[in-house]
Amino acid sequence: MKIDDALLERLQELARLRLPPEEREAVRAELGQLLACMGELSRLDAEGGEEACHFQGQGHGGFLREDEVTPSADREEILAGAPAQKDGYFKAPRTVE
Amino acid sequence: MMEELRTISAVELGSLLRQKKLGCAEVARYALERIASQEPALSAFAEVAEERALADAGAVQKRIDQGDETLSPLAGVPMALKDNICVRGLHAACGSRMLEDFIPPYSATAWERLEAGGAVLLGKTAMDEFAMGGSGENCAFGPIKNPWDVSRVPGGSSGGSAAAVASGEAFYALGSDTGGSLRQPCSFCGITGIKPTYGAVSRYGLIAYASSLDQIGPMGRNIRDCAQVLSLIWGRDRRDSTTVEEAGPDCPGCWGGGAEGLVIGLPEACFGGETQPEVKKAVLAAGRQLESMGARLVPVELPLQDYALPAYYIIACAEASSNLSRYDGIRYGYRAAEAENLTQLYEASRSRGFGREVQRRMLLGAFVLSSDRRDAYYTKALKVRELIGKSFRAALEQCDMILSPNAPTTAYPLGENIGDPLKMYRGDAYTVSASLSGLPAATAPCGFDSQGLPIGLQLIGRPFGEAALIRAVDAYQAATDFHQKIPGEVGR
Repeated sequence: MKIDDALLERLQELARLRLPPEEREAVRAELGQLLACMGELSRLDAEGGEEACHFQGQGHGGFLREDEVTPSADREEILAGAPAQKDGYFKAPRTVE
Repeated sequence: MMEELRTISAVELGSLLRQKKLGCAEVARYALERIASQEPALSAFAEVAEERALADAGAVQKRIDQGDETLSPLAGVPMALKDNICVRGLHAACGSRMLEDFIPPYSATAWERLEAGGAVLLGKTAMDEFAMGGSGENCAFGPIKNPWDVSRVPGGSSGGSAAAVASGEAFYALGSDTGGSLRQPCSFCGITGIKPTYGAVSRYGLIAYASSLDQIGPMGRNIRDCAQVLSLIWGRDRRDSTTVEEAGPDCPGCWGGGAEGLVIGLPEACFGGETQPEVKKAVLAAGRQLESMGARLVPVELPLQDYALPAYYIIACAEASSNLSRYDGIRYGYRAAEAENLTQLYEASRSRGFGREVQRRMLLGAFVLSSDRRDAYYTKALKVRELIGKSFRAALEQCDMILSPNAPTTAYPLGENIGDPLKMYRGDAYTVSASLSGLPAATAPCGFDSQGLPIGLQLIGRPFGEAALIRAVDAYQAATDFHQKIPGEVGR
């Protein structure tokens, strides 16, 4: 599976990553190799098959609980871990002009 | 008495502590001294919490003295947690620069349950970044070493926990398993472990990699220790709706039953060409050992074995790319200093915070989920996953459990596979299927290769069939002593 420049660019955009130029060739080669391995699934005909998303047959169906208000995490403790905060809010670059 | 601590099991130690034949403080100090002497060569710990461990030990001793009945059978036993399991107030770096300074404001349910019973926490163990890696070399803070040979890898991504238990730094540890991350390092380091059935142990407080695959499990010196730990962390948690009401293993009832009458499946597909001959030989010998003790071996078919790795990596990378999109430099984690806008902030923070392996999986995940490829890759992988699950359920109608190698090789030298991600991924060939199918799997040492490196077997069971796995491994460990062998000192 060949990964061209446009595809690598698109993948970086989707993943919000920016590879340094000197690493792009190596990463491109690695991705090609790994995708070739993943592409082996095409040899198997799974037409009409069900998709496994969760293990319902094993007693999972998820369970619901009452919507009770209980203490959650401590606000100050959470904000203390933020890279930038102000007046009790997380700070982020302006997104709205 | 103190020399016995090097080899004593967690269950036996818990008993001695409860009977006050040993004190919690002296045992904690013993473990901390082991850490001090072995760590320079191993780098198994991301963080040693010495003061906290001694304080925990003091508090547990008081509870023992007061006859506190809420204490578990493992009260006072010093242990370690993989660094992707949150403990409020202690760093959880997850092997990554992205979370180097992160201190969780909450604790994982699995830890809270152990803590309530009197566990003494020595610290957080080193790991491959975000649990992505099969060697212990993808830790952003430096590679972890194998106590059996410090020029070799301990396995991953729970390499630190495995090295800590194998070297006697901790009496047991918790690891996590997504495609083999708990089992494979057990194999490389010669210790015992259990990946529970999906949903048996709460993932609340486990930093997520692939949410439909991740499970926390015990790693220890023998299966009884692992079973005891598992029974303490098991069960429904209102904070993780994928957990179940099923009852966990009953200790000590689940061990001591012998191998008589157990039916063990042998799949030819798992003893194939890529397996190191000594590994094949040792695992088959283990099967014959169990047979000599009254178990019956039957051939079983696993016709989709070749598709398990590609299906696993597609699903794991897809889920990881979604889970790791939370690392945006805004609420926690690494934030790049210079950025003119939000997109630049995301790109710079993530590109510098994540290592190469993590970035590779993010890009793969983006690929398999992208709109024009989703059907061919992700949706296909989900269908293959369902077929693999069906094939295992069919095989497990003919037997109680399936025997296979754990890792296809013994521990390889540091640096040997780091430039070859595909080769590294192939090390998971026998472990990913149980993860995809949500089935429990136990691993135990079953021999050593010609270089003295440990070999591990794997037994995969029916859903919530942990008790049968424990019974089988316990019978095996009663008749063999591979699990009692310890590596030499790896001093300064």
